[in-house]
Amino acid sequence: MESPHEHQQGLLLSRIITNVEKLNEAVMTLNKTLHEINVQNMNTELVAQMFKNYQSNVLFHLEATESLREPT
Amino acid sequence: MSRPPLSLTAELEKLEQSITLTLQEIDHNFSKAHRIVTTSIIPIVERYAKESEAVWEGSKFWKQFFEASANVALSNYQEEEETYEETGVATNAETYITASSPGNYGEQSTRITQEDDPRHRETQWENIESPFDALRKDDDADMTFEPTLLPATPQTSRRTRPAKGSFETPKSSPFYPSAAGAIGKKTPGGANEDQLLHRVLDKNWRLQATPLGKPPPSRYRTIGAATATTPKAQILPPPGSESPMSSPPKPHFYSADIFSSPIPGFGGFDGGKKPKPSTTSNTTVLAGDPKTPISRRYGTAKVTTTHHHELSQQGDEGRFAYGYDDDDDSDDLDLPPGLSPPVTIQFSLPPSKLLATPAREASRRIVHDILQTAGAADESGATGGSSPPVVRDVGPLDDTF
Repeated sequence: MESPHEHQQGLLLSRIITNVEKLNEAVMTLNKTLHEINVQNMNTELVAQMFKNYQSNVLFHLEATESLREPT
Repeated sequence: MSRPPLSLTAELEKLEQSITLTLQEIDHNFSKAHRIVTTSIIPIVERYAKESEAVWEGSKFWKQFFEASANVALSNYQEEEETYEETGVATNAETYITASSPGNYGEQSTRITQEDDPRHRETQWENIESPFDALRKDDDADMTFEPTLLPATPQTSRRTRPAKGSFETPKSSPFYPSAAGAIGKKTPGGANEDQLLHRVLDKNWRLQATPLGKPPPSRYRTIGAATATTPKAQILPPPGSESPMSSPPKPHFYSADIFSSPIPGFGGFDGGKKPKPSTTSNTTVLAGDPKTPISRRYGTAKVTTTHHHELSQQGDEGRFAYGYDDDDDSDDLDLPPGLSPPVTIQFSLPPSKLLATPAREASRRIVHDILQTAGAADESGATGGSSPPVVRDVGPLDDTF
């Protein structure tokens, strides 16, 4: 004879499994979205790095030529 | 709990209830986590993606701008981490440390669950904390990756990251672009030499810079090491260097050397070692090519000849640029690799002319000799001693005319 607790726990376990599957799908979707965002942000980061390098180059050039002025 | 059987039953009932309650709590937590992820996090992340796309749309122009200025095309590509694949089977805890990064933590747990051996699983679960703590220490140490942590990857991009505000110090500014300024220039080695952009999970994201414009398709690769550098770098090498970048002006120089007097003080870009065998061989190969634009090439060679005596290094650079523009012609594509068109074309015409006149004279001499042997009068002053070698040399060539 099946215990009522066992039956209830079986139901709870199946419910937990379902919830875990749903959560797994949600996290996979989240990971995929974040991956796409990261890939896209790499280009933005690249632009930022290029601008940073350009800024440092400009600063070095201006300092080397002594034409750097204080902002007015 | 007066009687033992009742207490046992009650204890069992209590245990069952606690198990049920725990399972309910677990279920509630999972459903709550799912609800939070789906209702809160994913919309925010999608909004973040939208905003990031807007940012990228705004900065796309500047990427194209920098690409156009450097004449390269920058692209990201994904590279598998080979060391991680090796360590995935070996289940060595220390190698997990070497291949891990802050983002690797989640990936480790998924990989560990894929392990079949529970013994390995236990050991890895025990060791999960250690790389995380080690990486947290690394994060505290200003995000610098020690060389032991990344054995197989270059450290350049990561080293650029802690240099925050380095442009504020004037002395570091000339050195900073040399480290981070490698972006856009692919190193001469293979794909592994590219700039390391990111490490996401177990993947390396590298930056590939392919030169744009119309680089000479086959010539540079056949002459020397085919390095994917920008055409500007090919235009501006030092004249004394023996790099393959200095090869484009060579045809002009040596052809000019033929049409004018040789320059004693100038040893050429390669020390004057290469010119004669290569040029003469090319001449013999393509001497009979009538379709090449000889006159235009010939004019080019004369222009470089006039420049060659007078101009210094700047003049050489100008010739480099001139030669580079000349390489963009479409007729260069028809030639087999390893043959440079200016060399062959400039040599093709004058030797044919030079060979044509002795051949005709020799044919006349042959006729005269035959007439003399037949008994005709010796009218001209042709010397009989010099005619036999000329006859042997010119005889086969005479069929071509």
